[in-house]
Amino acid sequence: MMTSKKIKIHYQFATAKGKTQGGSVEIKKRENFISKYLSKDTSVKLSVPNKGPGSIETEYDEAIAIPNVIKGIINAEKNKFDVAIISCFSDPGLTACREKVSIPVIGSGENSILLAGQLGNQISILSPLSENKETFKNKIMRLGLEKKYCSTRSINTKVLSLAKDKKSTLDKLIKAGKKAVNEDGADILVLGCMSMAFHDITEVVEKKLGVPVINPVKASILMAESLVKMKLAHSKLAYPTPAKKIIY
Amino acid sequence: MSIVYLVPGNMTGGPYGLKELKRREKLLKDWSFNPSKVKVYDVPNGGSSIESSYEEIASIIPAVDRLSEITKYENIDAVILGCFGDPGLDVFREMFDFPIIGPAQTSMHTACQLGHKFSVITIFDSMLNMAEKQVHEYGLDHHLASVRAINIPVLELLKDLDVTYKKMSKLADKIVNEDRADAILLGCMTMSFSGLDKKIEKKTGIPVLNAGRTSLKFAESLLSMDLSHSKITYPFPPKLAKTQKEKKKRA
Repeated sequence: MMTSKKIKIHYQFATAKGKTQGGSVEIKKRENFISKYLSKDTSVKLSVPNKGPGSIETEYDEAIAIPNVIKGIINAEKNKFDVAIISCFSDPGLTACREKVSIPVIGSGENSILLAGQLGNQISILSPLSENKETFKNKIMRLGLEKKYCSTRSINTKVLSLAKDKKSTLDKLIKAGKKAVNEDGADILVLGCMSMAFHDITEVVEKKLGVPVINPVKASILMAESLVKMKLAHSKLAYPTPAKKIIY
Repeated sequence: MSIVYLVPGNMTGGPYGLKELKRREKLLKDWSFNPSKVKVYDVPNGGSSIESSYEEIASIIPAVDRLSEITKYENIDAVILGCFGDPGLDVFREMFDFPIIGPAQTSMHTACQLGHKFSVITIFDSMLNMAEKQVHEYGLDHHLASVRAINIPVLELLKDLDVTYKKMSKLADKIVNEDRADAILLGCMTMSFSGLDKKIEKKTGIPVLNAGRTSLKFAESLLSMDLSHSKITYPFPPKLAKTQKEKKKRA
């Protein structure tokens, strides 16, 4: 049956963007972007860690970010949120969070790759840096989706520079996307970074290239709503709650 | 504007009848963000249930034709194929631009986010390989724990829900304890619309995916994102395109 209860989404940043002036502007921008895709009975709360890396581009950055992500999501469950989203394409701490909480936790990367796998057969990911290739490959292998993985094409731009020049980012994305489609044989593209996704240029890229382009932010919000509506969460058999133990 | 749920067979003329078609429509509407958009159709010249590869393939062309006919008076946003075999998913995607949702494909992908390995409950032992082949086709081999059959014909699943529940729950126990699955897919739309999913979930403690509900949510999500399948993967058949062009010229 339809529930009239409002859905509360906890949107967890992995990066500490709040401290800088540019950061707080960016956060406001992101909040507005997300609001556009919410159903009328859904609300979202952004959670930005005080500490941590400013961007996540390597496994090392991820490792620093993970404890903050886990803390934020444990709190989300305590504060009665229905669902949590990790806002980073690398899904830092995803499995650990699922072990610790019972509310559904969505990994922006995992979710958009699984979505892409339903609309095409050759998935290419557009990444900020070429270093991302290795991490993305690992992610694909963990998901067991090697068969559907085509390539990762980078635009050689640091995450924190993406927002600086929107036009140039867009041009680079289109160029990289074209290579993915024409040279690698991709039939579907995924934006492999939240800073790209929040740019609101997905439709432009899609139109230019003629293939579907997955925006991980939109996809995660919609999956969050869907799971709550279906009253589904991850299997606790797959992600068993860790025993309480003394940490030395 | 509508989300069409297309039963690829003749439900109205079969033992379940129009009543069941309307019941499913009501359920889909209840699950929907926008109930007025959801419509259920069936295929009057189709079969009564799909329980073999032969019946699956035989259902495809009449269902495609039926959908083409519906497009003439219905402004369609997305279509859900109302059979867990996703019969003709590729064919439909070639022929139409709007999103075509296969209940198996979408519930399998959703299950991958909820656990490591899922099991599918299908109808007959003779269909085990059909379900396995689907998982291979979708490239999700790593995520399959098992396929088990309930061995109740589709058209008898709703006859005595207690019997269906008992058999289903026995299978679910085996799935958890012997096959080590951590999520269960109800591998038939009649099973999905039986209302037993949450009961089995409660009993086993692992997620049970209702393919009907999952498909509807996926359809709605795709529409919100203005996304559809890649036309590179599913191009319109070139020969048909040629004849269509010629037809237009002559007209």
